[in-house]
Amino acid sequence: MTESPHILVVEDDQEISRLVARYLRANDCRVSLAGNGREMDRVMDASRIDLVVLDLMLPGEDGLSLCRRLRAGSSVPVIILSARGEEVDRIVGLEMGADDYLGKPFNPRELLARVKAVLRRSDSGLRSPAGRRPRVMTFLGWRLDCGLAKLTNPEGGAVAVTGGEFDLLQALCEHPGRVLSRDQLLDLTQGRSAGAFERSIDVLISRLRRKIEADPHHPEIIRTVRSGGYVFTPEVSAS
Amino acid sequence: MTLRPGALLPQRISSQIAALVVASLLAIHVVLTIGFLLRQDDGRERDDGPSLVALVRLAETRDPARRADLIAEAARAFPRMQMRLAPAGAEPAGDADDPRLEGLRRHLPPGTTAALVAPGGPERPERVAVRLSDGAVLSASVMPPPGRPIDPVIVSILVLAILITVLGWWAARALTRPLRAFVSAAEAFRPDGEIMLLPERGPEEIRSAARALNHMRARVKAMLEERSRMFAAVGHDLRTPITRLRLRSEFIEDEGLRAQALADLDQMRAMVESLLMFMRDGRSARAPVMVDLTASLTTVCDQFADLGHDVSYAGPDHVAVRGHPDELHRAVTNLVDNAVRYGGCARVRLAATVAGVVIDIEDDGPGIPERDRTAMLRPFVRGETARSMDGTTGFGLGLSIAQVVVTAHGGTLALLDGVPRGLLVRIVLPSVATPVPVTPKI
Repeated sequence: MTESPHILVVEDDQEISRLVARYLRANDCRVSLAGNGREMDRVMDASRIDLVVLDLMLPGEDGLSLCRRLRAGSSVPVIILSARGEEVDRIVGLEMGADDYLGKPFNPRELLARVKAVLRRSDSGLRSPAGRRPRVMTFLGWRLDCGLAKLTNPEGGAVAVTGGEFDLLQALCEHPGRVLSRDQLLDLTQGRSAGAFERSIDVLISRLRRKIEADPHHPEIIRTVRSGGYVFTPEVSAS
Repeated sequence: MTLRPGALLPQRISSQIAALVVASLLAIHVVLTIGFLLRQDDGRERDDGPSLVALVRLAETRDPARRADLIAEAARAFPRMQMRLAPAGAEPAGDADDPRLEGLRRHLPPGTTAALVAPGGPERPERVAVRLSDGAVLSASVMPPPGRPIDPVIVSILVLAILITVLGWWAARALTRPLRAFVSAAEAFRPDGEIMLLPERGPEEIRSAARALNHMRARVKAMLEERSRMFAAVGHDLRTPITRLRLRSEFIEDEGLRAQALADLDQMRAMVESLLMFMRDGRSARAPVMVDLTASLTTVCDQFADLGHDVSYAGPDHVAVRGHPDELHRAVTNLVDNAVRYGGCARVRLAATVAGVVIDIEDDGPGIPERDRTAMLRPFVRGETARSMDGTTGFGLGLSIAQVVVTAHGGTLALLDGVPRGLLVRIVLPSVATPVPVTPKI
């Protein structure tokens, strides 16, 4: 990205939007503010926006409806903020086409990390032609829900993974059959779980193997390549 | 017009009892009368024909010459007895010692003997031959005597006892059925579940009690819902100012001060989340799914180990339970957090047994004295150690949340002694085959 991204914060709590704007500006972003849907429309018409940070609870038209409208009219990335913090809100928000979801109270550093991650994805063309990144990837009966960061085994059982493990598995799934070095994997997994205390790629790989390999000592899904890297062997289908 | 069943019954318990007593007396009377009439019938049947003893006595008194005429007349009068007189000298056929004739022999005049020619049955007469004192043999078919005659007084007492027992049992059942329904309804009452209204039927007293209990349950449910809404609102409203403070703290110049402020805010956030979690009562809006428990436990252990804590896991590779992954994660996290906080380390073990899936979380800390354990499971109760520690502890909801989550999954949570010391928290979850009770959300 050559120039600093222009971010629109739609939030009715003036103090929060002011502070978010200040934080994002301090981190090399241009920020516009809107307190409700009408103001949002005005800003969207007047200038080119790279990303919208959208609060769910707004006076008048609510955030979900705004999100649906944004998605219908453009491919601008949306990150949803919500104080309700219920899983249902997250699911609905992602169904409505949001790119990410953050519950209040949030860590501004995490917001910044996610903003950057979403922008990087939309820049690098990782978003599918429909303007959306694949929501769900499957391999060998395993199911990776990228929106909810959930992993499901072939028996339909929920398998717990940390943010770092999930990002790593997602990166591997997005590049099946390709040898990825540790540095490449590190690059691909930066972003989402910024600030989280994560172990080295090797440790994460061994933890993932313990969870998804039939025999973790003789891995079939994530193979180690002698020259220093890993390859994800199964076929992956995205939807 | 349709008549409600029991519409004609008296409405109050007192009148029902009175009606019951009258009905019982009537029933006893009817039964006794029928019994009496039946006994009368039996008597008449037994009068069919003269008794053999009387016939023998008659034959003994007569001179042998006229005896033949007498017996012939008697035989004509009572053809069913098939009386025959054999002259003296004829050997009576049959067994002269048969014990079945013991009763008859006692009543026969001296000098006569009786022999059983052909035994009878309940419907069939027996053939008896009696040798008279002069050697002549009188044989006749007679009904064998009924078994041991039963004293009519004993019969009456028995009938009465049985009747009173049956009636009393029935009355007690009928009158207490609504009360038992009450008891089970009160036992089954869960404020978060569907309210199964008690049927308002039965005697007037029971109906009004059912109405009162139904109203009370509705009030309790409304109260609890109110409380849940209030806590949820408080939790939600606290999130906004915490968000503001969180954002503001980022701009604090003094690094130490900023770190402290952020730590405090993290604690506040954690407390609010734990409060909301507790208010949800371990319930989830979503349907239960299969959960790879091994993955959940290793994830929690890895996260604590990454923060430098002494946490270990031992157990099989894949153990599945049915439930809510996030809630189970929260419960295990709370317990491991307690273990490393107060016990210095956490040893997590998993085992699939016949009784269910057993999760043990053990530490090396001081443990919890037996008498304090029940109290420690209650919300907002903190142990000695936690109270004396600095302000980094929460509301004292960790154990309570773990317990409500485990309970909502149909499992149990117990506080036990660690070996050789410390606390052992043992969770037993039902195996996959056992269905998890569905707990609908309010």
